[in-house]
Amino acid sequence: MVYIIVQLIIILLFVCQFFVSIRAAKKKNCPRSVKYFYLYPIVGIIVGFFLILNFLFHAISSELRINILTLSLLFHFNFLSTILYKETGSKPFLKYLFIFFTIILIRLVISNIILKGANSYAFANAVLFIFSAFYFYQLFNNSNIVNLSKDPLFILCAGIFLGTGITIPFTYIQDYLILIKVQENLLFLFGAFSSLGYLIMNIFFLKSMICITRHN
Amino acid sequence: MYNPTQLIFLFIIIFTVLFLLLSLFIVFIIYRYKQKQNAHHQALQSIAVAHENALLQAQIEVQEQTFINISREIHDNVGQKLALVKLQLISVQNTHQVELDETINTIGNAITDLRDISRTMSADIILANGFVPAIEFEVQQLNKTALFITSFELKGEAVFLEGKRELILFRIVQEALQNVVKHANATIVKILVDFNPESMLVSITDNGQGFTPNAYNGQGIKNMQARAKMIDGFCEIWSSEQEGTVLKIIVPLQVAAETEH
Repeated sequence: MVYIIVQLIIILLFVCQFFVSIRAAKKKNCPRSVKYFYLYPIVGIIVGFFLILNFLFHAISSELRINILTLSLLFHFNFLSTILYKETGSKPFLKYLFIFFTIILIRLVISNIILKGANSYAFANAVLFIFSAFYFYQLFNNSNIVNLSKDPLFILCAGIFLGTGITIPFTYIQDYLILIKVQENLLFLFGAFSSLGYLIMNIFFLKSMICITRHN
Repeated sequence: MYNPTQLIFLFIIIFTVLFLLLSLFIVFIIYRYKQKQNAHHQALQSIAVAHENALLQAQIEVQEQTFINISREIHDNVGQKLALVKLQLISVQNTHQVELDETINTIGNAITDLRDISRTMSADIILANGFVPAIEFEVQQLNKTALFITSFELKGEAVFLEGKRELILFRIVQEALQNVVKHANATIVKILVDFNPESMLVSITDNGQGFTPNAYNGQGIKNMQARAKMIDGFCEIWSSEQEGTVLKIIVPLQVAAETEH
């Protein structure tokens, strides 16, 4: 039940994010890197519904579930990485790093489909975590001074930092729990906890989009 | 094998610790960034102050140059011509004795007045004799008008300030005295110069009609305050309708005190 509630809250957040980011995209001050942010919640909503259906009816085959999660993971990784890459100054070494990580991730995702492990998910989160940490580093090197509490990009990066930072260890713990074959309901409860990081991240994303819409 | 309650507690603890640690890191980033923001703000402010000071400095230099030019013109040109006229009148004194005596006196007074004006405008008096003699000269000038009873009091041991600072301080006092002459309708003017170990105070008090400082929109007071700020001091004015005005300028001595008077 807790799992369903958390997933529903996340879906609700995605719906809000979608409408707010559509409004934000129309604003002149909207940063180019987040212009198409409304695509992110669309994928999020679809995946959220799949997860709930899977929990309620076990209606989706495990292969299909993994494929959907894998595709959404690749989409989210690329989308958020592109934003972070642009916000960290589009440096050439970051570009190569980004390409390098994408190749590794695709490789991990392919093997994940076969092995059903959490490596790719943890890896994607780790890369996003590093990118967001680099954004904070960039913040101090940049000569421009912004009001952090109203800066959409800072809030967005803080959300990624918090969300991925919580998710990484939880992903590995979840793998371990599967390995030691804990009860399924406990696994879903753990999944709910793991999703809390994701939920926090999306609250920050929503706040970030609201900041753009309120900015004149 | 695994107690579910224990596991749930473990999840909660892991989540809370992680969340707190990461949140603390973000708070730390915000705190450090605020420090950067403050430093940036201070740097901008100091640039603005430096710019303002440079403008004021340029303004004072232009004013000083104008004063020097006028002073030289009065002394060398107008003064000389009047002296020549006086000489010519003396040479024809025998024919119209009484009328010419009066005219010669008037011209003599005019020459003296012009010399005084020239002296007041010139920075030589302050650069050569220092602040206190320059103020004494101003007091003499005021007393000559017979419109005011002007008193001057010196407390403490006078010290020389750096030339430019003394000149700026002197110009503030001059402007204040001119305001008394032009606007105050005063009969008594008291000037106090008080040298303390760390600072000097110049106070100018009059018994004139006063004014409401908050309702005053002119540039004069702002100018005096800006000049005082330029020499690391400050200028304050207390006044109210029909109760006279007190102007105080406090300037620190530590930075610029050079030699004992």
